[in-house]
Amino acid sequence: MSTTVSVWGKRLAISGLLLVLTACGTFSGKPDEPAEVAETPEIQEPSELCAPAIEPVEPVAPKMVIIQTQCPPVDGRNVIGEVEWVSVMPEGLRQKARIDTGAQTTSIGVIATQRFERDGKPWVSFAVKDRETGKMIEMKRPLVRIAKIKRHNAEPLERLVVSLDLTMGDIAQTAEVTLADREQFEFPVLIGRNFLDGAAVVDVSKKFLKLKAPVVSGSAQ
Amino acid sequence: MSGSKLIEKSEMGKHSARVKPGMALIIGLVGMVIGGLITFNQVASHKPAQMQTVGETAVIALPDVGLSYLSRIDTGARVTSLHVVDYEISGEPLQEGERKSEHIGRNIRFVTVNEYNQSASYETKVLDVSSVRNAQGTEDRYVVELALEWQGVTKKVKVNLRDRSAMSYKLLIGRNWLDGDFVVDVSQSEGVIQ
Repeated sequence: MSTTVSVWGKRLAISGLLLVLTACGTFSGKPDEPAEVAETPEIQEPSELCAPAIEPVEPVAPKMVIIQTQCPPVDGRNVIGEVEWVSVMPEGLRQKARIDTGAQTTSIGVIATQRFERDGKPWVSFAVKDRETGKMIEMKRPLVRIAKIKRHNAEPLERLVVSLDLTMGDIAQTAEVTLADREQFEFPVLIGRNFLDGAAVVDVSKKFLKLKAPVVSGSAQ
Repeated sequence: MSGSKLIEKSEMGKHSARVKPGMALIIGLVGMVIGGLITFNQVASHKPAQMQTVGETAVIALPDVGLSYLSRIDTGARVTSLHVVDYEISGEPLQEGERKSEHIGRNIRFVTVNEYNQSASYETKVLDVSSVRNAQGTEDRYVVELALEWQGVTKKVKVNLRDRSAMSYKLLIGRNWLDGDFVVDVSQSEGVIQ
């Protein structure tokens, strides 16, 4: 009887040790530190813990060290979702924006564009409807260029392009924006690659990762 | 088979007679608990680490079809879309004015062409027909399921089939392929089609 117990005990000991060994083999903690499970290590949200972060180690009682590698924003990149709040500054008009890596240029839905001259330079005035309040906000900007939008089976569209200061949480970008009719689209703003390039990466499994209110420059982080 | 096992057992019994049976049992159980805990924590902490970064374009393979495409990665598109130049629906010949939605469940054999003008045909079931609204109006498209592979990751997703000959990119990767596995960084690219 005791032999059977010891046989199984030995087997258990071997398999237990093997489990510890395999688990440690792939473990990215410091190899010379004893992996001791005194308490369940805290697993931080990936967005908080992206640069390899080492948990504080008490000098006397060594704890398990977790180094998280390969979190999505490994190099501290700004991650945004498929839809975010974006504000046009300095007016502070805040709208929902579809983040569209398929679009070259950012686009905003406007009503009643009007070209005019100021100091001999071409300008454009336009109104943007705040879909949350229904209020119309009038804006005036210098005309940057006129974009020709190629269309399949249709005449090319001409769209006026202005430069807008846009903020999305802690991201502030000055970008060329085409003035478009986006009435029948779900989102009044389309954020294209000219805004995203070098500023943010897109995780389509998320939405509204950035603060709704614009972060005024100087107070960001 | 069982005979050899028995011999092995009795031999192990002889050797382990030196170890106290109770001790061995405790060591074994503690070891298993520690091992299990570590493995569990690893699984838990590695879950969000799977996201790969894809650029504004990527060369994506359709292993079943046997073609690769320089694809536009488009977070503005819900569903992935593939260029199809010709297709045939299995079964009875099509009637005049028949709607595409009547072909759900039948097989479709389609011909697709990549940006190098390489073509291939593939047969699969019509899963759905979607009405897509875009700048050109509304159109019905057959929806099939296809495996799309990039950098060793293969995902099977719904793909709508359409004539993309006027578009630069013959495969458009939508959110249904990216979702949960990829983040898009438009400062990276695997090529540009003018």
